[in-house]
Amino acid sequence: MPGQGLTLRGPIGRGFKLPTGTRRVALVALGGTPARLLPVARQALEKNAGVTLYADFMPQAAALRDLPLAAEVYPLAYAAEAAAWADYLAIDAPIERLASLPAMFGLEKGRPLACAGQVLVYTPMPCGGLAECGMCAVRTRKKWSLACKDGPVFDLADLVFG
Amino acid sequence: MAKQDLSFRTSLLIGAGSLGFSPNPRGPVDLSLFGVFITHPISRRPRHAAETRAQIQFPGGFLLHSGLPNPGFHGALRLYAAQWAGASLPILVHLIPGDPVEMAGMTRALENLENIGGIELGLRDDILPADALAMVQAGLGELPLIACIPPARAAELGALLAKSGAAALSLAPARGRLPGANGEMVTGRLYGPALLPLALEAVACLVHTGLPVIGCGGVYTPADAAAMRAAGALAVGLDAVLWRGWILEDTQTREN
Repeated sequence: MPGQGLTLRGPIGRGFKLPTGTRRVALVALGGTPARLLPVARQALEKNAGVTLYADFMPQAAALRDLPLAAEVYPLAYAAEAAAWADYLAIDAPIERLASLPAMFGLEKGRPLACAGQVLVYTPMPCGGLAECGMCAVRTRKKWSLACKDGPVFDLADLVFG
Repeated sequence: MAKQDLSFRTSLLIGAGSLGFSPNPRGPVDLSLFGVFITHPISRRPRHAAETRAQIQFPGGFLLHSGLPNPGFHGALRLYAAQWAGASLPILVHLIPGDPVEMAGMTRALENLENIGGIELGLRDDILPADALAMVQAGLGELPLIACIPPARAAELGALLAKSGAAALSLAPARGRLPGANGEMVTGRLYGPALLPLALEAVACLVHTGLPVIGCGGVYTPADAAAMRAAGALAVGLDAVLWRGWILEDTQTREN
């Protein structure tokens, strides 16, 4: 409603952490928007790293207008190449698409990714990190983690798929 | 009868599962408004999150299906007992035992901890009356026991537990069923302002037992809390309204 006040909290949890010395950054947007990956793109470009975004958007899409011009954009169908080209992979994935990552990046049978990789797990957080309600639970190698507290960005190697 | 009395500093309570397993003094919610902190439901064994978790909106509220994940009773003690002991308000530990033996064991263990004001026993929607009575009796001891009753069974279980030795009765979140994203039916707990009329009706049933009643469900404004008290609730539990991180007009919510 116009004029209604909003109260914002946050930020909560952990974000992307670009490894020192990264030269080639691949961003993979599975969540319908590259918006949550843009800070990584800007940070990488400031460090003179190359940035490529893999996403299912038309080049003229409004969602891409905030992407720095120096970044290249490829269709999501080419994302498998990202792991071979990049030395750091940043993925934005809705929780229901996590299970598709091993096939997308050739991680079946426990094969590790060729480069460092992190995933922003996009999931509902009804309690906003206040109640450990469990709705944003993500299965990791050691335990069930909470995206609101332990994430929403997880190391790809820590996630358990399927 | 419990050897300790059930008493609250104020009549506004933090309902089970509303702010996690222990109070966060650095969190956005002003803990001084509340008389007691009720923990997230804790089972005897650890429980993982449900694979088919869902949050589904409906007009006036939302359905939540999480599986009530928790570290299990002993895990919870390891993680939170020190925090409970140092908390600025008394702790009610909400237990969801599988049987009376589990209930008895967890009850005895809690009696040795500091700053535990009582136990809230969560009763399943489909529990048999005899089993509900056995659960309550297994939980009787040093600490006051609050039987947390599904609102749909308030009249039946309230009458049954009136003379059970429970120190008070409270209301669990109502349960409901809605189609999920793929059309499948999802059952879960219901939250939101739309639940207030149902909760008020359940409180009205429970006050006839003569036991103190903690009214929970659908309280989003000071007027809602006042309505709960007018219906006969001795204390009012807040739930998902706390997830905003603040309370509407919280100075008015504070007791006079």
